[in-house]
Amino acid sequence: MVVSTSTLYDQLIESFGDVKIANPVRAKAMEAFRKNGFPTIKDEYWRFTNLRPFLNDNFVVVNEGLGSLDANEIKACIEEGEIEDLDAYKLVVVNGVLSEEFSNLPQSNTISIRPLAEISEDSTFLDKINNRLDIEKPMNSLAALNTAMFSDGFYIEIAANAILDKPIHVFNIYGYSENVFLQPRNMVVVNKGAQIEIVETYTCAGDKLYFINSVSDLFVDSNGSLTHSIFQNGKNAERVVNHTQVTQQKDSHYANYIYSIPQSAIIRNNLNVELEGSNIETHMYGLYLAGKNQLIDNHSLVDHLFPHCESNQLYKGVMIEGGKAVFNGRIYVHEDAQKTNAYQSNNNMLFSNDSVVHSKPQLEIYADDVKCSHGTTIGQYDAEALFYLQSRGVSEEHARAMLVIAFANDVTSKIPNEALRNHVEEKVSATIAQANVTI
Amino acid sequence: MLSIRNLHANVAGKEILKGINLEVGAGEVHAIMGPNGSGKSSLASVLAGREEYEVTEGEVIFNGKDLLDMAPEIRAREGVFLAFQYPVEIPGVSNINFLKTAVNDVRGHHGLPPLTPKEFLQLTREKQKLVEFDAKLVNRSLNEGFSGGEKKRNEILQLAMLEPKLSILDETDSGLDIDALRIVSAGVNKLRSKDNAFVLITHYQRLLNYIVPDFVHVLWNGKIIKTGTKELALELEEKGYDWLKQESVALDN
Repeated sequence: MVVSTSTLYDQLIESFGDVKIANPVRAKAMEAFRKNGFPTIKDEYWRFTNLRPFLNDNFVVVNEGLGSLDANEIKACIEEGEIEDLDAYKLVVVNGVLSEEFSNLPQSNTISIRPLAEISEDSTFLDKINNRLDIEKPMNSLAALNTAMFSDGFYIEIAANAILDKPIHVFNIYGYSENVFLQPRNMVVVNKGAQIEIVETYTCAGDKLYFINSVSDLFVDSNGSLTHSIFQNGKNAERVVNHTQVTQQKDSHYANYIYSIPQSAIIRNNLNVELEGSNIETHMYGLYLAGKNQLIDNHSLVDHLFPHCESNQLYKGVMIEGGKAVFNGRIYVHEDAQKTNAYQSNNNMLFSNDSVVHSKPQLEIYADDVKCSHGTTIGQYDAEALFYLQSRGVSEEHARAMLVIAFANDVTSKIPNEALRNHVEEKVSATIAQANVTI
Repeated sequence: MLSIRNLHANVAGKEILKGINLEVGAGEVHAIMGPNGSGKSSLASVLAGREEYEVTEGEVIFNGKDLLDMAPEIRAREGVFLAFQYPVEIPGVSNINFLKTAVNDVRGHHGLPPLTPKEFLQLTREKQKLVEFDAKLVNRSLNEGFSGGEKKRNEILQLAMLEPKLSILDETDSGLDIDALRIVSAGVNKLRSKDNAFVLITHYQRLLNYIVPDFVHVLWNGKIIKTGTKELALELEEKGYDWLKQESVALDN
């Protein structure tokens, strides 16, 4: 039975209210969490990521919207999340609640951007959430918990064949005066032939502990295209478990870019993509720079169910100051998914003697006519290259940053948006230039 | 310009340089020759500040400053340039951005403002022409996929861009065909002036037909055992090193 972090566990069970019990989807999800508890390292998919130390603090379990940020604090958080030169619509979500006041949303009837709470109590809504996410599995128990308890988040739906002219920059802002356990839920629906780009940043105000257990359901219908970037550069008091569940229909395109730099104590990203048709294209690019007292864990699953699809995954990691990272990529090619092209690669560069990387690229293939590859590397930076740059007058800090940017180039060069690319490269350069190298 | 006095250095606990003395003045070209394993490249490495070499004794004064006290990048900014025997390929770092960073870091060290993009472009074009460097290569990743000759020419382009006071060319002639050797030498000759100095490390007299040295030194067993003029190189070509080794051993005894 459940042994770990019983206080928080009991608290969560207790705060699961009557209204929610009446809803069968939520009740089932809660039952799954009640049974499975928080994931433990006994679960293969959590083997290297022990959540227990991050759940032992006292947290207040809050419903979205009960924060204590004033307008100036919100503005400061927006500023912190800004990406220079990014020409984008602004969607500001404060403590899980969409803020019309601070947002700058597209004025078009082809796109609907609303608080999830507005539609989530609709009796049919819970049937719409991604049923491909198997909440009964112990590995997904946090997603189950979110399903049971979420109260708000953002909902974006773009109408068939509409093309949004600019990206939407989602500012996820949190501010509480006590340690909080948060469970935002977001949903994006891209209808047939529509195209949209979403960029997400996170900012937590103050110095309280934040445990953010978020789930995003993304649907990309046939011929649709969703480009989705997430930038994670939180403070050490932030603990993030982020589950992204994507379902793609035939001829659609989904690209996920995830950048994680110090200092959130723990980041666990689950990215599950279900390819439910033919001729689907899926791209997953990750760049993580794990620093002091930090664990960055990326788990992904790509489920090839139909023939003629292509998935491409490239994650690059840079480890400094004892930072730890986990990569677990799983590509599952079903028997019917002939002519699948699936590629997966994870490369890591160490700048610290105390850093650890657990990398596990997995391929499971049940079809017999596919092109698939997977691989992983872990190595040190090239000392000779560093010396070469220094011998031309480039400082050690700049030289190191140049090598890291060069290493990351396979990922960053894929970022379609130049402002975002510059932003990522700048943040990464600055972090690595200041790093204490021990190797 | 450069005074090396009684320089001793170890690598991995083994003594490689065993008391080098060398004076290089402005406007001079020195050639350092010697058999394999005599310590030629080690000397270049110690001067450029390669970490794995440990100086155990002696001093190196460069324009009145203690060179050994400086980090590699400071040495470069002060005007020491090492053309690598094996230039490093760095995929993902563009040649042009690298040159820009290096030139501006060196300028910054001397209190000069960074070059404007236009000035930088102009300088690059001018120097590229000087060393006959293919413009297409400038926009590629640093040395990635370059031929041996292209890599060496890129070294000379960097040298031309950074305008160092002291250039150490570590076996720049190795792996070059006759045409590339001619181009590289012509580049060096154009860059020679009364204010700068060159130290050429080479195995072959051939290079010295193109770049005529003022002094030729023979390095053996971590020491300079003979110094002469360009005629010494011709003599070495003819007689090899054995007669010098014997002389040196006889002297030591």
